[in-house]
Amino acid sequence: MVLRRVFQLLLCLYPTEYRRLFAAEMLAVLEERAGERRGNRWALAEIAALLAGAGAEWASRLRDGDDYLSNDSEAADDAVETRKLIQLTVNCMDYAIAHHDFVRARFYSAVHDKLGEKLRRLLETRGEHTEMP
Amino acid sequence: MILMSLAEKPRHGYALIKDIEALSKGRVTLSTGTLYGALRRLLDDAWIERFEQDDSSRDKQAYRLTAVGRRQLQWELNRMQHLTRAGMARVRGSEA
Repeated sequence: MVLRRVFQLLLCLYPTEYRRLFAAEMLAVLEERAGERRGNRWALAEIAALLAGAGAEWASRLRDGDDYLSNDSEAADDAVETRKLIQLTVNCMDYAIAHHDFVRARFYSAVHDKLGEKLRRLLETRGEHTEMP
Repeated sequence: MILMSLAEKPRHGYALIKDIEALSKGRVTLSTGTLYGALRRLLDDAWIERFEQDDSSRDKQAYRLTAVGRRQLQWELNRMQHLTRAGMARVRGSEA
């Protein structure tokens, strides 16, 4: 019970956006683990990791500003920009394949997939479907 | 290791910790803070995604690999395999 309170307090140190997304889940995991673990070493390690995690998340929050864990702000602009980038990677991939540079082609292929995934998520938030170039 | 665990099937946080512990034969035990920091970064990179499982409550969100994540894992495993082969070849060479 005391441990749960300590974990709850430590989770309050995280940025609000992060807490909204993960705090309930993290507390549930901590409770499950508390049920199987005995001794102070485990609890101390968890406390240290939570403190370090909160520090790291605040650093990301300060670095990324409004983009930190943002889901759909300016989603329309992002989708247009992402489509352009996808087309660009397709061109680069074609060029690399034409010049037998398969290492580079594989790299562009991975970037293409990543952008495709991003576009799919952006469009999903607006209830649209993805048409990949 | 998170990607490796999710390559088998979608998992929620606690199941990930247990599976990674088993995968590493007890050598890696992720703390909750470390796990969720990593999950956040993987979500940002779109290598994994959260999704609703029929039986999952708000505090038991499940995660699964995306196509990008699977490809990235494959690439990383190939790289490690290549490194292992190169290392073994050098060890054998120095023994001969």
